[in-house]
Amino acid sequence: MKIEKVRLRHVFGTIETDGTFWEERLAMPLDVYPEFRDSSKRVKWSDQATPNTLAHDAYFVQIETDDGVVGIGGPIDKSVAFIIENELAHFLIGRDPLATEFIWDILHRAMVHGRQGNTMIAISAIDNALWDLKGRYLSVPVYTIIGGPTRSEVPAYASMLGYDVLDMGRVAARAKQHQELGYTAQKWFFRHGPMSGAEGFKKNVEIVETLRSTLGDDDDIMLDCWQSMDVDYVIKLAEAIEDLHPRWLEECAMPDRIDSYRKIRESTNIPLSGAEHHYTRWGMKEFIDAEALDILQPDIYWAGGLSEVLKIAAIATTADLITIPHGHSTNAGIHFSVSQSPIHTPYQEYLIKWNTIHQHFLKTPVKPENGSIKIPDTVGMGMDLDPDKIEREEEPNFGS
Amino acid sequence: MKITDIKLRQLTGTMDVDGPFMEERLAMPLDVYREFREQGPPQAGNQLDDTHYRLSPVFIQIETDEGVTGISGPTMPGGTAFHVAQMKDFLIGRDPLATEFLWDIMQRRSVHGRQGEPMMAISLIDNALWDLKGKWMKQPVHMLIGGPTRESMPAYASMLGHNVLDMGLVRERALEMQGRGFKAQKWFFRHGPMSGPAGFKKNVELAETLRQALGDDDDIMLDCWQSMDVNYVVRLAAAIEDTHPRWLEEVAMPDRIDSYRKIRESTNIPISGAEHEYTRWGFKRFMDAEALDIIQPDLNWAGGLSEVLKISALATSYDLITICHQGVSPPGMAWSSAQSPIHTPYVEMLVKHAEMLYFFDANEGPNFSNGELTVSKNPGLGFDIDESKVESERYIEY
Repeated sequence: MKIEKVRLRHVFGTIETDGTFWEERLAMPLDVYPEFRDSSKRVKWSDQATPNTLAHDAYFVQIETDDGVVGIGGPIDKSVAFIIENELAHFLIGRDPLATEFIWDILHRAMVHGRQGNTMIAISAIDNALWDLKGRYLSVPVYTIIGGPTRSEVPAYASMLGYDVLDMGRVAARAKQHQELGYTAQKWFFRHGPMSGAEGFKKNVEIVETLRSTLGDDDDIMLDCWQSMDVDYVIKLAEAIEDLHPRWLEECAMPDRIDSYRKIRESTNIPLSGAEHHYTRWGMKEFIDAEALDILQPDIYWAGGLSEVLKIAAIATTADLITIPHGHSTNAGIHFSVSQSPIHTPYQEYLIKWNTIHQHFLKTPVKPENGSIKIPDTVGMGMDLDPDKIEREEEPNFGS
Repeated sequence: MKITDIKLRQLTGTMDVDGPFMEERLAMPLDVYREFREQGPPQAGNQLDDTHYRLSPVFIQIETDEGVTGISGPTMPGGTAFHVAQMKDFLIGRDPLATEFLWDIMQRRSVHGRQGEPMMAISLIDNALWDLKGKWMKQPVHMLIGGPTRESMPAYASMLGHNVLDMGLVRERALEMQGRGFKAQKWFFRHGPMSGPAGFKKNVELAETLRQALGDDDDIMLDCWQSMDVNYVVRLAAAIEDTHPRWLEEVAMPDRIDSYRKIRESTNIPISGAEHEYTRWGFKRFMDAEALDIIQPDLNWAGGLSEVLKISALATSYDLITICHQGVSPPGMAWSSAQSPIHTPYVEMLVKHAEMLYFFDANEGPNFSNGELTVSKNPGLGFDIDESKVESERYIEY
């Protein structure tokens, strides 16, 4: 079997929403400047075309073979699709799509400026598409190829990015609603960094207090700083919320500042998670060696694909760490989760709003029921696109 | 003053050459696989015939409402150019002189772009802004950053693209460069571990040929281009130590910092590297691990002039040497001219790439004589397009 074509598919559709979809954003590294701090200046994630619809488009990579078997990876954004089309696709043509170790190695060795960031995201998408292809070729779900299942379902935690985090009445209502849906763990996102001063700090503390008093003593509460704070601020914040026993504090400094993570970790009993914006086993090893994190969060669509995240997770277990991947793709994530030991991967992230978007074009979306994600029975990674959702498909325009 | 546009200008022109321009290549990480080991040299242009080599590089041009522009590059069409285009709307309307602010917001915005092509795009934008700043102030950039620290700077000839397998040709070219005044030359190994004992002997033969040709005094640098592994390099270093190379370069893949450290601990040959590393945070890893003697950030890759000034300041706090990769580039010349001679004893001149880099320069590049380079006194980074060399031109849009 040989790869004949690497197709980038640009698809368009409409997502129905219940009012404004993206209500609020998280704190961001750019917020150190007032002009970016204002919510109205937020990064535009989607186009709210009408009060109750989003105009949505996405790119998928479809790898086609002379056997007729295909593999699909995505969604990815235009910059990643561009890299696949212009820099990576030519390496794949004519090669055995099942030789995923070989293909990963040549892409990594060829892209001498691509060990991190967008190029590694592009390599990840190709790797995941090849895993989807391999599963289809063997007529099995991917987890069976990589040694799963270790269990029949995985507890999901509800990741609440995009919900209002400033109106505490709404925070309590949404937290309660998701608890009633069966989630026993929720992650919420701080809106304020150090530059928002004492008032922002109080707001950050207030959201944790609201969550704990709403959810009771037993549910896990995770809190995400999204690399928008600094050491002293996080230490003070951790101290202020320690009594509310959060399950973890996430990405508390910019990812290259590993010493900052280590210092924070040494100063608090709240476990620290992070590294979703880090890549490959070599990148993760820096955090592991520095004892800077308790929970590693590589993203299967960013850090190097399923092939690489399996290696990262194996390395993490040698340091007795937990790996809970960041949740760009629930479809990729479930195959990873059910091939890991429950103690090393106790949860899978389910970003409520992002999954509405990322799974929109999928024929067999993977959704939690009663707070857990069940083993899927689709072959591969279950990446068939749903023709009914695709209103329009265009040849990608990568410029001239 | 406000930024009004960022253009990607692709220029096409034809260089006169004497025979095949890129004769041979260096060892590469992909060479662990036979099918790649046997491939010829990558081309930066198009060999039209025996005497003509066509170039189609892309320059970044930043324009303002005051009519002052800044130029940087070149790069090729592809990921880096794409990421420059992605920054355009974010930067239009902003003050082009506030380079610290612009760098910070570009880096904070690019959460997946701290390394690689997005950082190379940030580098090109930063360098174009420095060119613009110099032109606006009517000063050469090296004066704005505290230079010159010296009138001229020793260059080393970096021989990438020359034949490294025919020892007669190696000797001839080495003597030719010595005749042009270079007192230091860097050559590139063609073989990695997978080429076995025959490749190993060829690598050793290259170092021996150079030492015999150049005599005892000239500096000889040798580049492994991240295509070897620890045991191989340790053995190679032992075999060539008597030819006293000035340094051994990029001995392992860049993320494997422990490998660099182990090699450095095992040999007396100084170790250089990190041209494929980015920003002060990336370089700090090598410094903290004591993995390198000489660090080699590239002005067009590691974050631009603004960032490389910080990297080199950080390096001096560890008492390390910084010699930028392709330091003969316009931003590299400005940066080199503002460094202490003991911390930056050489400027790299990749001779074939410098010829391509300065082909379109109206000022014909920095002055080179008797082995030394003199920084341009022209405003900005001293690079302006020579329209007479441009056969055709287009603007790339993404």
